[in-house]
Amino acid sequence: MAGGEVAAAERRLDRFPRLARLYNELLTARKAICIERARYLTEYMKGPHVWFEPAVVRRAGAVAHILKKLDVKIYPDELLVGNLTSKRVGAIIYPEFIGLLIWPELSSLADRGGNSLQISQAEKDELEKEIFPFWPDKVVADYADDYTSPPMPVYLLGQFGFFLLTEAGGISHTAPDFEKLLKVGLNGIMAEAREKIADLDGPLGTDPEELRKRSFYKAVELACQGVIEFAQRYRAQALALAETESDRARKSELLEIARICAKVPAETAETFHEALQSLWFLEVALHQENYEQALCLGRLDQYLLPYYRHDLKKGVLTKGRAIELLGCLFIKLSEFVPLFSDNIAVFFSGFPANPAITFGGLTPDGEDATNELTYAILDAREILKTRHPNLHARIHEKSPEKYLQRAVEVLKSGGAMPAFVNDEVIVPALVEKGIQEEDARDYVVIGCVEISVPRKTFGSTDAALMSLPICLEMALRDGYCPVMLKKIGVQSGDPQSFSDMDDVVEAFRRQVSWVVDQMVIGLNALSLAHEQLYPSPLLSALTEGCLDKGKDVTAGGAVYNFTGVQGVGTADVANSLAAIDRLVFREKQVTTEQLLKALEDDFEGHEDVYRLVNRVPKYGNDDELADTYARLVARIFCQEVARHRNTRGGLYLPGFLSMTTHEGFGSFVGALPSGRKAFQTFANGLSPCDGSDMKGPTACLKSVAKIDYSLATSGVSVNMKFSPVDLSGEEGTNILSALIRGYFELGGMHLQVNLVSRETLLDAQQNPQKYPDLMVRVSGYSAYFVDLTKEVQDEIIARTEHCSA
Amino acid sequence: MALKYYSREWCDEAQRRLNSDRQHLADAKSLTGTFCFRVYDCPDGTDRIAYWEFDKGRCLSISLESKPAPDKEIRELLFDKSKAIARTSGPFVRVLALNKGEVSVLKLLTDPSYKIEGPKMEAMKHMKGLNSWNRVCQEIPTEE
Repeated sequence: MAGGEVAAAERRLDRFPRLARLYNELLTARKAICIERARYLTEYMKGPHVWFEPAVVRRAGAVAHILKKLDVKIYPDELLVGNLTSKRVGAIIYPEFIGLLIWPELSSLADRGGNSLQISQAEKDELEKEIFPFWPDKVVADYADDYTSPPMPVYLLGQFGFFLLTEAGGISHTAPDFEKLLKVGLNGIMAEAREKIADLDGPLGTDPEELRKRSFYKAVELACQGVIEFAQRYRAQALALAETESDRARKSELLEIARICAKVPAETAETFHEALQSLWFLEVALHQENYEQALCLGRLDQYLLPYYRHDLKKGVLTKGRAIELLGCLFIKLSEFVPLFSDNIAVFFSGFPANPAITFGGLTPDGEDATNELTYAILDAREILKTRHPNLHARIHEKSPEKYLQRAVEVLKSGGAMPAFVNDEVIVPALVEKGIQEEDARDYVVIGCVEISVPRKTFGSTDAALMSLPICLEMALRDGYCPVMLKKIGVQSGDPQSFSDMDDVVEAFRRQVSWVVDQMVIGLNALSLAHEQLYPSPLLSALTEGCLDKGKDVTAGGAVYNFTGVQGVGTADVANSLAAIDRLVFREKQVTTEQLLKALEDDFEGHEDVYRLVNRVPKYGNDDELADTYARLVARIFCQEVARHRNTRGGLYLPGFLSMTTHEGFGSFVGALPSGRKAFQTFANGLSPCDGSDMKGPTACLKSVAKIDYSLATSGVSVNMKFSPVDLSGEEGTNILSALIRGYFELGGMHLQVNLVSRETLLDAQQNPQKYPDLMVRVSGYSAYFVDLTKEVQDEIIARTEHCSA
Repeated sequence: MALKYYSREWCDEAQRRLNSDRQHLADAKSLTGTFCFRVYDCPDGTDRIAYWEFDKGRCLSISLESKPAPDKEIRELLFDKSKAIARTSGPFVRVLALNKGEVSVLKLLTDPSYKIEGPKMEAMKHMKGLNSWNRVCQEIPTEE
């Protein structure tokens, strides 16, 4: 790629040989465990003095120690350097969070089907003998457990069927202030921390906060210094490689890498390449501090635009080179996978880590933000179909048609990205939650679908996922949980005594309220545990508000503080309530007793009831009854969540994303009045139940658009599947673009689309070797189809395949 | 009279109770298949391996084999998906504590001495039946 504009014919991977080689390395690498972080963290924490240091200083010291020791390696062809792990595609172990869950699985890690990870005998031995034995009783969830008495939340967490508290795994669902990093460098941030210390160095007052602040600022400086030294080690490595490199072009590249590593992230970035390298170093470092989930890169097309324009103008960058650099970033973002134990992988199938990039949309002052870098990012995605980053296209009323069409073209090119989000719904919803309008207009999508204001927020946007159908099941049994064989929920009335739907809905609400309470108690305990045991000084250094307040993000240092939690199974509950409404109360075709007996027997021997419930129209067909209940179920969850405040003084925000918990949670719930059989999957996200949206895409989206999204400020996920043949060519692009516009005009919040035929998916299931790079949309993220569990593959195959007509 | 945990007599009593407990037979209707347990370092100095075979909640058979501990054959036996839906392995004291409900699931899942093998999704779909089975076994008067 010589330079200039990238024409359509040039947007092919074979036109970018460097990216083709790097991508091939990525695809052929076997995923493996990396024990380095666990080794060096343990080494540090075994030190004699660390437990007497303030937690925030201890954590900064640990991060600096890890960064000092991590293996430094530069792979051939790389333009961006810095590795998250010692493996080409590696999984980091966080023993202080949920890393110990793999301890009993060490012998079988390499043989877990799609969830397999390579591990050597030496690594296994080191984990078993040196690393893991140190960590029991130092795990965040154990510490949190001490706050809850009786320990109902932790008990429910252990049952897996009610909710998952993902904060037990760590905190990273946020968008740090990379813009500030690029503008002032870590030296600038350290200088600010030193100034704050100097301000405190006057006559020592009696305010205890000053003592706390001093520790915090010291920790910020320590952690930042660790990152700078890490970059310097890469500089040395690049110089060493350049020394022996015989290829002149590569030698020159290595010398340029060395120059850049000497400069960033310590100093201000001045070029596009420097800016990308600087933010990548921070991404690597932040993942050593806290877990590898959904650390968002934010609005890349906005804060990198000055560097892009500057370099193009100066003639030191071509669009082709920019795409190559963006491609290198995409590759680096795909070199890590999350580490899930076999039990947990059921709920998070396909190795989702979801570092996300958002583009397009509005500027903070309300203008259209689409620019030439937006298109370059789309071009890079069309060329390179990596698992990460997760891409989100913001759309508003005045988004240029050219932009929407280009985003649709890229989506159609494969890999089920980008997803689409609606500014017209999201911005006012954020404002309603107390966010300044210019900040709301600057929102990003974190991870899968969660909404947050970048730079200023610690939003822990996917802190928990909760099953709604289990609440309905308990509501229909006065608090009894069939799978647990005991009363778990609150007494909400004998269902035989319910005289109308108000009684049913009220019982459901009471169960939701109780489970939400348990979830919130558990989350608040975990938040305190993070603050008191393993705070995040490096993330705090890059979050607005923390340096001003002298507080860690975990202690409420950010300008905005939220906790996002997700409701799962809305469509299943809505369809069930619609069936009860029509069959039991309106048409009186079935008594409550008959219905409950049919559910208990999983409809066996109750074929008449089964036929009746299946005749009731389902959510996803623009049917008023079912859609009204979907809106109601969503509202109940949102209202119950919004009652609560987190430990940082912020609100809990509700959303509707399921990852693959719709599969996992489904296995804990018996038959439902909707006609769903026992232990089967629920609907994903806010999508209709698989195969139940029978009246075409327009009717489906009209149903989905009826939800009140002003309440769901933690984001929602809506999946649709189309036949690729139906949407081929320019006409197909026009149809899909118009469908997205129309859906957003109706008030829809989010849409993601799979364009893979059922036949292809079935063939991929039978012949995985033929489809190593077939990527599909799961729920909020894309994953390689072959990495998914059989159950999740089946669920995706079962989704309605819409025709465009 | 209390029965020794995981003895032949205890297994026979478990089978009898499972097949005569109407509540269990109602709750465990979906429990069909074979489950394997390996119990190490039993108080009498043996390792044991048991296969519990169920059909719609009814316990068809419990095969129990014990050998002096540590028995290489039992401990190194590879998990065979065609023979069992899931296999649980652990030291006697741990398995007994679980049977008595004295250890939390979360603690158990990080215990390297306790292993669960087999497709987790399939095992989860049997959760109601497994809970029912566990309830019946917990009611057996048991001694070490």
